[in-house]
Amino acid sequence: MAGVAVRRRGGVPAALLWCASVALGCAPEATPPAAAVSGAGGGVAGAAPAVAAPVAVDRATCASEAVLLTRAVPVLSAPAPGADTVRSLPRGAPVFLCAGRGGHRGVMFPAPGRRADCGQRGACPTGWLREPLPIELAG
Amino acid sequence: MATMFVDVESLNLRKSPSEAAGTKIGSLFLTQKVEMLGEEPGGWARVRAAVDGSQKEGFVAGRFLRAPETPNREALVASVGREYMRFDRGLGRESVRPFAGFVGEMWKAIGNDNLDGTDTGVPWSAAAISFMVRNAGPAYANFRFAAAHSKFVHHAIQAREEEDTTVPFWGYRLNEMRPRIGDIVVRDNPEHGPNVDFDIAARLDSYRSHSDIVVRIDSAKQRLLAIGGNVGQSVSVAVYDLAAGDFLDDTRHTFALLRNRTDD
Repeated sequence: MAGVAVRRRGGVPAALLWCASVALGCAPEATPPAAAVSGAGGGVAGAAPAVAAPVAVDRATCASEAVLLTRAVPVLSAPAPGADTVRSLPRGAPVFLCAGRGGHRGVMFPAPGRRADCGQRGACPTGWLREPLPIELAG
Repeated sequence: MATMFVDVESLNLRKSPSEAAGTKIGSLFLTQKVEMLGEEPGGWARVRAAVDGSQKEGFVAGRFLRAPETPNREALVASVGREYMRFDRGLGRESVRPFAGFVGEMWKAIGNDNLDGTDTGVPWSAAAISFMVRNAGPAYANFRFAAAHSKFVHHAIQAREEEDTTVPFWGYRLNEMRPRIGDIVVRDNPEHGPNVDFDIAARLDSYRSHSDIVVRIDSAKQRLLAIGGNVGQSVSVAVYDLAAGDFLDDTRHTFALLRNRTDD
């Protein structure tokens, strides 16, 4: 992860939290982008926002076929309002839906430049999207 | 000099009107256009057709040729035939280049730049139908191009209910209309429950399903052939059963016919 700028929250590198949450198949490309934005519910300026501990997505529950996003969305490290945004997925990106929790849906998605064959490999990055999901079916 | 079309999956072109060994000079394929030069005794037809990129004259069994449908229906079948040939008549696998790149073109045509065709986890059959319909010409401009069959199926059923004559397809129940070449046949995808039927498709536009474009009606064998994408991981031929009177049967979970009305 050398060279990756990491946004720190409460003194803990968000990238480390993210990777710890997805120890099974946490790829380097799954680290947060340099300009990662705050999670929802960031609070008043100057106040320390509540930090939600990363939660792993249960890959065994993920669908074998992807759906497509109808707009860009942030991917969160946990199914909670204070979770870090670990990536932004663009409109049209494929995501494999997994089990949900607390108004969020676990997802698996191909890393940039990688094939969307997560259903076969199962080694794609994971994260959480807020419900309701802006998705459409393919096929 | 009349135009005819190949009405069988593979048809031998011969240098003489005979099935004798050594007379074959090429192969013609389903949906391919041929120029009829004359009829010969024994049911043979003298034709000119493209073989491996060049025009050849020869003889074929005339019973495997069909007369043209209406112009816009033929434009759609020609578009389907181009994709069928581009995918090596069902032999070109979706995840292998150059075929993956062709799937990528289909995604881009419906506005998705995030998929390049190597995305084997993303069903591309509706993108393929949208691509083939779009490339059939301006008569199809008001098709509901989409990543899901359910979108354009619902759109066609709604258009019929609203008597919207600006759209290229109207949706019908299986017992309302006989299928013709250039129509679209729609079936449920039973791998993804709950089951979908015509009434559900009329109300909803988001469910898993599948559709193919009709390219051959075979009344004698009570079946039709249709070509679609993501069929056997390629652009390939699917077989649908016909019921009495040449209406579509509901075997294979078939539930709707999108009637091509571009030449009405």
